[in-house]
Amino acid sequence: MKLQLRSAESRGDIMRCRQLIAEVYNRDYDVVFSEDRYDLEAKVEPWPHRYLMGLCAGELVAACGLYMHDTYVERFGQVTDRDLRCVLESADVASEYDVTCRREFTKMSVRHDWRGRGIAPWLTGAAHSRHFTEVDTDRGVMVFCAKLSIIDNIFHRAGLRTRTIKEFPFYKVHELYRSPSDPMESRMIIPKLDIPGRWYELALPGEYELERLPRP
Amino acid sequence: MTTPRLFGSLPGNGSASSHGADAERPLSELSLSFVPLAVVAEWTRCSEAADFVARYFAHDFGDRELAGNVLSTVVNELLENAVKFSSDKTVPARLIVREYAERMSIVSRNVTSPRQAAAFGDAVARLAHGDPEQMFADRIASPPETGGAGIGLIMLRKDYGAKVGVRVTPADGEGTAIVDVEVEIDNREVEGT
Repeated sequence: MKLQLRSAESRGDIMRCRQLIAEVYNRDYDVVFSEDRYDLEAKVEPWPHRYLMGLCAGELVAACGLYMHDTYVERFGQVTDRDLRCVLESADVASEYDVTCRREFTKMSVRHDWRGRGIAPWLTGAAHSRHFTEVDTDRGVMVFCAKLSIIDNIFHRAGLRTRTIKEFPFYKVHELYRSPSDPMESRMIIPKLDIPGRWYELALPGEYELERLPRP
Repeated sequence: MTTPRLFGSLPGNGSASSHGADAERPLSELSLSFVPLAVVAEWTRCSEAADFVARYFAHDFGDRELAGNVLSTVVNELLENAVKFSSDKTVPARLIVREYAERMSIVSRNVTSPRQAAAFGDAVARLAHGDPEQMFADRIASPPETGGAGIGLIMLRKDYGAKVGVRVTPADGEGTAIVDVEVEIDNREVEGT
């Protein structure tokens, strides 16, 4: 299966991404969205700032987002600059990155009728391309939050290395997503250390043969 | 042929309330058709649409601000319900507001699953015949039931004496049902008199 990947640039493309994500998140987690009036206790999520589209024969089958600033983990996960610096220091690369420039991968969504084809880990890996995140322009770092099963089955399956920052607090918006046995964490991905070259240098836009990624 | 099922306390349901000669043509009417998914994607559209509809009708009331607030609350509740209970969020839902001499009628229409429709209808029937103060207290004390009438409808009964009714019409061969939720409120409640 060939998957065409490109950043959503036009108003129409952004709307298509938002509607796909809204449909999946509302159906799976009973969540709604807003541009500027979010409330995690009322299950209203903030929209990301940038979107990556996954198209098959012109049809949008998957999409994910990127917070370019005001990341979810800092707004709701109580993650501070100091927390991020600690992770970098423990990897001995603190001087190579600027923790105030952070991007957050988020809202990975595959249409229900396109699931089971290995799209999610593939698109997750592709969304860490520097051509999408532009972390190479300002020495930025990548962060995200997810439940542990997703971290293993999606992020690690894509070959991304992830580093724990801290546990993510409980909010009502995640009541249908996380569970006591599958908690959420905020994690960091250090671009040059943790993102395999195949993803970091992946050219976008582009069309790629989607191969199934083996489980870790 | 499919037969609608009626729940609740509206005149059309054959229950106690009767408007006699008031069953006339509306003095004013406004209807909206909207795609629920667009509201899921920007939740503030609910309150913005409710405010717009409320302001449209508030011109006919002495205390426009109060009338606007009351109508916005009612319309917002029905919009949220229609979005929440639409089984296919790409199928347009409708809102119809009618003003009569003595009352306002606000109707939402959406498509949902027969099971969800029946659960909602049963909850509205309980709401129509129960004590709204007690139901409100019970609802606060216990978590909400999935698929039941929400605390918003209970509050409309409690705070404005609103009558609530539901009509469920099976859609032939599609495994879906059309749900019309009607809230009727006395204009004296809208004006606070």
